[in-house]
Amino acid sequence: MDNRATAFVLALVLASSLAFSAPIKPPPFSANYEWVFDISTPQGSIPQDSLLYVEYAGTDGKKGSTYVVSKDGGATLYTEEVAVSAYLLYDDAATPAPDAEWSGSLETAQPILVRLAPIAEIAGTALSSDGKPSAGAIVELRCPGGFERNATASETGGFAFTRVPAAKCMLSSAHNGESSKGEFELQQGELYVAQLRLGKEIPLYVWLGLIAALIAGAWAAFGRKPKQEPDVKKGKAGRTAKPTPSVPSKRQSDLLATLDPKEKRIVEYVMHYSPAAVKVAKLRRELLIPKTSLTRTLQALERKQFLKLDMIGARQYVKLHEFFRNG
Amino acid sequence: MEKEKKKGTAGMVVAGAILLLLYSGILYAAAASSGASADCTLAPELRLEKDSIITAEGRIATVKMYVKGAQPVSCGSQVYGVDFTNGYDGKEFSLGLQGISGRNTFALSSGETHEFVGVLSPIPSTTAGDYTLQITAYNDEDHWKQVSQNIAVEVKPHSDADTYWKTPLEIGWNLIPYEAGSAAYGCDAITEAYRYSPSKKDYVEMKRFGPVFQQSDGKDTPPNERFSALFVFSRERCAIESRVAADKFLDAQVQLLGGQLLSVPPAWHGAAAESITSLCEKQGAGKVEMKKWNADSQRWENVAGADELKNGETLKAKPAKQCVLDLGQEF
Repeated sequence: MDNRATAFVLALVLASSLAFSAPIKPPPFSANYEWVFDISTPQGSIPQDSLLYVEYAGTDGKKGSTYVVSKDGGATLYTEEVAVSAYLLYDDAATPAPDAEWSGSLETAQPILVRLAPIAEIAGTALSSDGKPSAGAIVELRCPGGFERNATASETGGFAFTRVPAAKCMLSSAHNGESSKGEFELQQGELYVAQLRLGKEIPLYVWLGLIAALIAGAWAAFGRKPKQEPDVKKGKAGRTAKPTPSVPSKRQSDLLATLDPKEKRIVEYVMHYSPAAVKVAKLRRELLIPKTSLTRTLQALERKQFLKLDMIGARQYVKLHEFFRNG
Repeated sequence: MEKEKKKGTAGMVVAGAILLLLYSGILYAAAASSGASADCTLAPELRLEKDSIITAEGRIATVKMYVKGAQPVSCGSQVYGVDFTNGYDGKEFSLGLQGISGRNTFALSSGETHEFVGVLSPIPSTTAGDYTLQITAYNDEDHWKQVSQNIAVEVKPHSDADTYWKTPLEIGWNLIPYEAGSAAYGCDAITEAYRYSPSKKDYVEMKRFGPVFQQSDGKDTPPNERFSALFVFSRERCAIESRVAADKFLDAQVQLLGGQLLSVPPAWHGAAAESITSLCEKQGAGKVEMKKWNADSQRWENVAGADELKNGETLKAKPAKQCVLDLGQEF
């Protein structure tokens, strides 16, 4: 994130926290109503002396806000007029963002059971594929339980979401033909810093074409028998037989001595099956040689006339070169 | 061969010319920028109303300070700052500027003067003696461009008749004793402060400027609401101290018009709560509801008639009708 974007994100987070701290007032002088809360979180009761911001509304819609302090797992709210609903926000000073919230109606039956839901905050930047801020990009947030919100990226690409459920959520954004999508898990009280790097969208017809090509490839590879099978040694059960030891001639031993250990190992393996051909894939699997390295080595051995490579259908086979086999 | 030699010489000449142009450009830009900052970034002028003050332990003194923009007219307005410093004996005092929270910066045009009121009070551990305080005004662009003035402060011993209040604060809301204009020390973790105004039937927001709490709207507290108590919100456990001159309570009255928050004055110490409520009842104010804020449980508690009052304790008194209480009256 560049400095301007960081400043924007911090300003947004600061503004969101100020929005909670500005209008608080002490317990009313005429404390005509007393509301006792029994407070807990999914982890259990909240610590003693935790501060909770409370916003409440009366029957006439008049709102009030204050702080209450948790005592023995509960807290008391005083109001002058009867209150019908309340919102509680728990903000542990040890975490960078508010930790949990609750909203509900204030019933006459007391204590009022308050089960705080864990929350977190997201602040981030949306950048285009060339690294420039995606000003005006619509950033969508989706979390479990139907939680959906939108934000518009600022001039510096900054965006923020406050009071987001601490759960596995998804951020996505599309702007000027580019898009980005990402899933992440939010922890309680976390300030998650996200960076959305938008990229070119792949049109639907390209996706369909790719899927069709994949299906065709899979069918060609596994769904069709090759018309011409090479001379592969078969066991009784039809499986490839274990290689049987084959003793190299004096000439072959002299030629093998000119190879490096990896090349020699490959040629000796193929010699076990000779005169049959061996699938390259099987060779790679059995000798545990990386694909690129094996390809290079096989090409070198073909140049030196030790092995011969053949394509049969979609599969590549290797067998001893006539020069090496017969001299 | 000759041609190539000529070409090479011409190239070198062109490159040299470009380098020379670049170098002179850099020199010009540097000269221009340093010239601008040298002309405009100047220390302001600072003048104090007086160069010495006599005060006493627990008392508040004020000093007016005048800051004048010293930059040339062509520079437009400049941002300056002024405040007490911790230099000399600054740590022995609670210091602030009236109406200003945080760092005090302001814009001044050339020759323009701003006036500020410095508020100072020796903290409880400061003994009687002679002290020096320093006030510094500076250019906000370059803090080294500054000017300082010293003020001599003579602190006299407090009177034994003074009332000393020390209130331990809990995390959350606390009701502390308060007399408008008295100094209060300690508890930097106080984030909110309110007094109750019976005439408005609402709380009035207060701000802390050094040793004093004053209304955040800048208005003075009305004389008939000077004796009250403050609801403060603290994020930490701490203690707040204040020392009120004995004469403040002489002939002082508190009007319970629709109720008020009260600080128990020294004269009421040891009296039963009902002796206060009966005074109102004798005035025809009817029954007086009296409650106490328990900061530990963050709840209001009833005060029984027989409960003994203590100096510096805080109460909420709410009579059915108006009544007047004499803070100097002994029981």
